Amino acid sequence: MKLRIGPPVTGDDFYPRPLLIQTLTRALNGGHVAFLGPRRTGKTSCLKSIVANPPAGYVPLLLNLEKHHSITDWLKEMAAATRSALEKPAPKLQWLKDTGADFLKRLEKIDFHGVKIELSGSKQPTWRPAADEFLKLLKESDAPLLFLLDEFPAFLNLVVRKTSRDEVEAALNWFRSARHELSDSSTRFLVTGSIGLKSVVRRLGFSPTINDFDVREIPPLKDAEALDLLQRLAADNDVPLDEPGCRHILHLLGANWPILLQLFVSEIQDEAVTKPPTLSALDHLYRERLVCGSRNKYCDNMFDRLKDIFSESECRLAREILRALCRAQGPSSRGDLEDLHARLIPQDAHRALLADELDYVLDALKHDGYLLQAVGGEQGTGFASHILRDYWRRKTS
Amino acid sequence: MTTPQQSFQPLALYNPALLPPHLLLAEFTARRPLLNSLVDIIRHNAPAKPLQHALLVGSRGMGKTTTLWAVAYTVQADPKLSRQWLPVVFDEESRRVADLADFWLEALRQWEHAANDPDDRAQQLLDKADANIEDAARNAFLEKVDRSGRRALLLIDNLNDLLASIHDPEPLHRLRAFLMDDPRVMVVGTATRYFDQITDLDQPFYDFFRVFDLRPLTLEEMKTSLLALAKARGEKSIPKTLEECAGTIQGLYILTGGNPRLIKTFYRLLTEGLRGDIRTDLERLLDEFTPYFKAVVDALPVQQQRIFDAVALAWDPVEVAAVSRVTRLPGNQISAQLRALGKAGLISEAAGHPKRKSYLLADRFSNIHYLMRHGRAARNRFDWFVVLVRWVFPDIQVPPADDLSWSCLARLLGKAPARISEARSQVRKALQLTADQQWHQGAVHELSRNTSADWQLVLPGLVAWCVANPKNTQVFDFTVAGFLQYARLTKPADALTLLQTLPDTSPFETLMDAFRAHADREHLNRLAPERQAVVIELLNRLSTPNP
Repeated sequence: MKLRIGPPVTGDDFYPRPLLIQTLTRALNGGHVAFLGPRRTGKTSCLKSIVANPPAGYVPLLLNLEKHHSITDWLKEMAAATRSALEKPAPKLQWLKDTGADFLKRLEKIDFHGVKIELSGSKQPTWRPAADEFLKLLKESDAPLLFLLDEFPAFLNLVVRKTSRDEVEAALNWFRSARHELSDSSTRFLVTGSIGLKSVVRRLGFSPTINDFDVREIPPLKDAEALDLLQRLAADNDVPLDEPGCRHILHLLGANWPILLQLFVSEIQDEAVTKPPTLSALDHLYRERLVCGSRNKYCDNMFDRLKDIFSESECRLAREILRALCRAQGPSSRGDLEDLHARLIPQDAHRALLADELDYVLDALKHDGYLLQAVGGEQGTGFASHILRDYWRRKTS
Repeated sequence: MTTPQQSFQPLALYNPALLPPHLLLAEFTARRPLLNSLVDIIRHNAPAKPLQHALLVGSRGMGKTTTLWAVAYTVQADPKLSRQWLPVVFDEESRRVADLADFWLEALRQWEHAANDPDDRAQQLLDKADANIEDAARNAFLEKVDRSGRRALLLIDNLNDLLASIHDPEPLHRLRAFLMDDPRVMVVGTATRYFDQITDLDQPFYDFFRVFDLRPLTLEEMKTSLLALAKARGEKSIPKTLEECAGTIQGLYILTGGNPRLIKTFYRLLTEGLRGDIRTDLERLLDEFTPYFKAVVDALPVQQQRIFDAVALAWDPVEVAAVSRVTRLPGNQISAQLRALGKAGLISEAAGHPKRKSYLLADRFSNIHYLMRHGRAARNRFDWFVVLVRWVFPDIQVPPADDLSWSCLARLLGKAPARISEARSQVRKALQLTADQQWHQGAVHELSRNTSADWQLVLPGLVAWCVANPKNTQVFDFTVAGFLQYARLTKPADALTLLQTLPDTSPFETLMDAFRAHADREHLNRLAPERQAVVIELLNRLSTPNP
């Protein structure tokens, strides 16, 4: 297992997450899934793992949508990926034997440029007829295709920039109806991305168009898994690190995101040490390299961007939440956060007008990697990592 | 033995591409572990996996370009790697890239150059004026890559400038998607600092690269580099010089900031012979770099020049408010210009509290240059610092002056306990009359070394003497040692208080900082790195008994 920082990891470099993959597969059996989580938490690596070991009966198609800025390109890529997957001799699905050839023939006939089937004077987007035809084909052939749409939120942002908000609205409405129509068929969609889907869609004012997704969030590794990952990374990359050191790293980081574990190991590797670092040497490395060193630039940016992603009132709330949580002894309950909101906006009537403000801010902070909500127990909320928490403490002291 | 060919090899201070591969690699020692890590990454970038891309971050002169060339030459020299990869080094100051189409056109040009391919495909595409030139250039580039049977290792200097020049997020997303999915192209880039495109959560390339910080060389790394340089060039006198002039070398190391670009000038200094006077040796180092530093500052807009000047003369990290006071410019303008200077890699944020940002020149040697060349007050301040550096890092340990006649007499007096008080009083008076007499100093050292009250009496006079006689550094040395001893006998805070009662303590600025840092370690973050290094050494001396 080599240190990989930045790209998605595959094969031996991917730390297996069987429970998470199982959860996603189960959710996909029941419906369409939005697989959410902060950037750099390993979502794309999970998708690549699904492609490498597809769930029984499915043909997985992984599409990175960030290179597109038009709905037509998205549809074309879905069709092209489908075509290329079905033309491969490898899959031996019964569906392919029965329907594959006919499916391909019909797919070839769809014109995704929208030139031939464009209806003059029609208000519908030019891509819509082809999209409907593609949908019809998927539905009628009960195609067991699993579309894994990576960077979907970034794609929506690019479409807005390059075309219009109306175009995105039309696409999201079509996509919702497609999911609805395909709910009883074998075709499934999973959307994910490195920026928050909910935030993007909310900013555009189209939140209802994604309400039907079964939302699954990527959790950090459990302690035992994180310990195992650290030990494997150390062993496979010739980094001297003993078990107390590994445990201390987990204690220092406070959240077992694989990227943070990789970063810590890479920092030790860069120090070119020959003996396992002592706990105080790890403390020093954490403080000087991760909190106060170069990673500080990343934290600076996290601090500054709040004013760009939130309205004035939301930003105030976000700052107060982060200020309170960085000093809290442990995770804070929903009640604590509601009290904090009430302190900022004491009048009930006023607060009622901003009914979903707290939810939205918490959701955005979670999906942008500021906060992490525990899954079990009281589901308390705390900082997503001690690096950011410690930075916030210093910054707001 | 030095061959004529070796001795005439250029030192290539600014353009490592001028060095032949074997010489560059032979002299490439200090960053060898980094080179090994990079080559290891290339080796493990299997064709069927998403590639690991890398970024080297370091200020000017930290060896980024040389490292890129070292990667290229190492890959070329490795039979297995050279069958798999063709290193393609982009021009350091390429100004041809303004969008993604330009990027692929440049990749095409550089690929052809690296592969000795006479086909000028980029020009052909430009002549054709294809509407979708980006796709055409990318496809043409990938066609050539495929035909070669190898993969492209793009080595891109100033990658931050390149990414910043592509303003539109859409092509950046497209480039990221390409680099994430296509195993035919690996990028190793450099940047002078961490930049928004990689640190901003909302940018496509956020945390995309494995980043390696190119930190200043340690003293040991610098010595290793000098020895490697000497070995590669067949110069035999260097090891002896390094041993004999250890103090001067350490002093020069602190004042030049461990900047690898200086290694070669340093080397020249060593081969020509050190003068043993740090100030003079520094002047000789500076000569080489003056045109470069001048060109950097002259190229700045006027307002940025003023701010650069204020930060450079402040020497220690300085806050916006302080720059504003000196320049009489509003704080918001200062902040904006500091950001611009930061983006240009000239100014960096000091370590320390994130709430109180302070700034200093990124290239420490350029700051030393500025202090030596601009402003009398700055030069004076710097000169005293150099004197202190000389004292802290001597070449030859001076033996205690117990063979001097006055100290022998003092010892005799000391043996008559009834007369000891009178003797101490006499030597104090003698020292106050002629502070620069070594035997007076020896006598005080012998009789009053462990008596804080005596030091309290003589030190103010010695400080005044230093201020009045800046050319004579011998009294300065004795005074610094005296203050350290006084601090040991009392407390560093008492020594600081004593200094603070005096009208002019400018020669002892850094000593006072040491006393402050003893009580408050955060104070170290308020000092320029050179002063910080000397203060740390003084703090070490405080905790060891006076010899």
